[in-house]
Amino acid sequence: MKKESMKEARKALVVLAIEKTLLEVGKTTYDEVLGKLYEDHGCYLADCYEKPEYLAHVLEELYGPNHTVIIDSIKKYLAETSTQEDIAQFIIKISE
Amino acid sequence: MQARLEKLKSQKFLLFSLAVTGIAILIAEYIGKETAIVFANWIFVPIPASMLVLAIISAKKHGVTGNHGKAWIAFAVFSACWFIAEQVWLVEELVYHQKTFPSGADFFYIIGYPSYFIFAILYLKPFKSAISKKMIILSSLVAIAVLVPDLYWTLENSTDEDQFSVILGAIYPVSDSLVLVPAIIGIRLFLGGKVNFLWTLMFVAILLEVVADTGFQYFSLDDSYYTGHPVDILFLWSYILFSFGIYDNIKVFGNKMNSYKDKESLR
Repeated sequence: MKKESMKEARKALVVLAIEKTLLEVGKTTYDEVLGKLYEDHGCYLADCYEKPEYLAHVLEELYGPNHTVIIDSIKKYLAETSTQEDIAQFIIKISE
Repeated sequence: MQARLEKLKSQKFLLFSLAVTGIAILIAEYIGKETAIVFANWIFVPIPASMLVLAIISAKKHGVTGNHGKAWIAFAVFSACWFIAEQVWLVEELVYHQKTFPSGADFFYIIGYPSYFIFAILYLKPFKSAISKKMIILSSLVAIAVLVPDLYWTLENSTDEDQFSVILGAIYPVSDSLVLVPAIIGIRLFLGGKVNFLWTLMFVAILLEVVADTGFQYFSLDDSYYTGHPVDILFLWSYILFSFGIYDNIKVFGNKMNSYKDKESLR
């Protein structure tokens, strides 16, 4: 039970980091990414915790290969917690 | 596939708009100088107005959140400045029959440049870590390569002009070159992404502005310029390219926003 709630907390942390980064770029980027994630991959923002490649794909479609800058910002927000295995795994996957 | 077809259609419409505007100015010019002056003055109402309307729509859609929201507000200010400048030009020429350079219009053209520069900087800001020194140097070199002959031309041929007109004439090539730098960076930065189309059109629009400003200076100095001169086609094309760039960007960031009213459910 405790392990599960820890995982949920880490998931919320990742979602917050993604939201904060996207909103820093712009509200329309945030809206477009959310819409595209659902339309192209049938997933919600929270699902990016398990499938970060979907987020990377949507960002690349919008901004080209330099979308990695946005991913780097997300990673920066998560840097302090990256020692947690799940989050470290998320960072590795989204960086691929 | 649907998106590609739409893109192709919009590009065809862009080419059609450029061709129609160019031909219309040439026909007016062929009819006579007076016709050209009146026609060109009036065509500078709807075309810059369309850029202003699209810029306001874009600013409204983006809101004030994030760098891009603020960037589009700056772009709307730029569009408003240049739209006002065109209308000041029209009133001074058709109503007061005054000389159009230098005139009150120059004040609005010139204050438009910092607004455009702020737009470009704010748009590129979230991607600043991808902007290398090499990219800045190369873009600056291109801008300098454009500026040097342009500035030389302006100053060399301004010997008979008063000092104020010479300085004013020199502000345009300098400002054009300054705004060219972020436009080049933008194209390079977003290569392969959907927003690249906006930056490509903006780059071409600024490049046309450079050529048009140089042409304007050249023909003004030998007193052969008048509103409706073929060089004005380049100014109009510049507005059209800006407008299509904004329109494309509204579409890129517009579809999904409208489809999903309840965005909270997508979190």
